[in-house]
Amino acid sequence: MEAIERHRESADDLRAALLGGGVTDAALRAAVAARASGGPAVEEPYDTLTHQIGEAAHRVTDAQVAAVRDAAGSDKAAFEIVLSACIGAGLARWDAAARAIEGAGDAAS
Amino acid sequence: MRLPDVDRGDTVRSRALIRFISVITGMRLPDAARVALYHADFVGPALGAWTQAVMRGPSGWTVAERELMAAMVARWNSCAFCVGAHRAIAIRGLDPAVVDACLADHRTAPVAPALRATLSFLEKLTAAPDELGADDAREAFAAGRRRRNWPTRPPWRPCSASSPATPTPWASRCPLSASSRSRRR
Repeated sequence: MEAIERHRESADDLRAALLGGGVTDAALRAAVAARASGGPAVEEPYDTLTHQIGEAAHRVTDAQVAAVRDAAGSDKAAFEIVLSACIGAGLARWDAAARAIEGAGDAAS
Repeated sequence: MRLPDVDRGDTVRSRALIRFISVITGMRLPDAARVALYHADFVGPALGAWTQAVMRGPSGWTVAERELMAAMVARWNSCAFCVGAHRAIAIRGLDPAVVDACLADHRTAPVAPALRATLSFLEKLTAAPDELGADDAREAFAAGRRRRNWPTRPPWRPCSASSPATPTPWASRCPLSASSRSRRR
């Protein structure tokens, strides 16, 4: 199997894990992941934190995290929102890299 | 802020592990490790498996080169902790001066064209993924082909770091080459 195919399977596994299980609504996690990669806004206070993670995670503030913690209702739920945003931003980069590599065609071989 | 539940661990096992490692090492277990231990039935296993495959699985890049790439991505993401963590591994296989030169500016650092081009690809991928295109990938692949034509050991590279399919002529003389090859698996 080509390396890129193996990585694509890993990406699919991660996407499935992101939307399976968990204590928060899977639809919210999906929306947050999409938002962190430039997708449409989600409800507040999730939107502010998610957008910040996607744009510049090192600028996330205590207030942004605290607001999500309060809205989500537990540390575990807030953790899932944060991870969803991080993974959304990461998977968007994987998708961009895979498109670029496949677009390069024969150059990759 | 730290989420208290992540900080202390969410299971008896993870709490014990956090306490045990902290006592043994004499330092607070880093937050990144606490995050990895937390809510283990969520994305952790999938994320961990992919990370392990990328960073330690079969590759044309050595572990040290991959760790350098990770340190660079951390630098572009302004994560000082991650820069330090990945740099610490990168210098086990690469000259620390070269790693630091790369962290300062990979465009001027004394690294092989293939590595430099790949880092440029990763920089764009990190900072402006929407602008990344096939031309960027072609550029990196072209530099990879030129790499195979390097006839002599570059002065900056302490041990073999090329594809297993294209062993370098200096590999047998490098005291670390055997371990480097084994880590490339």
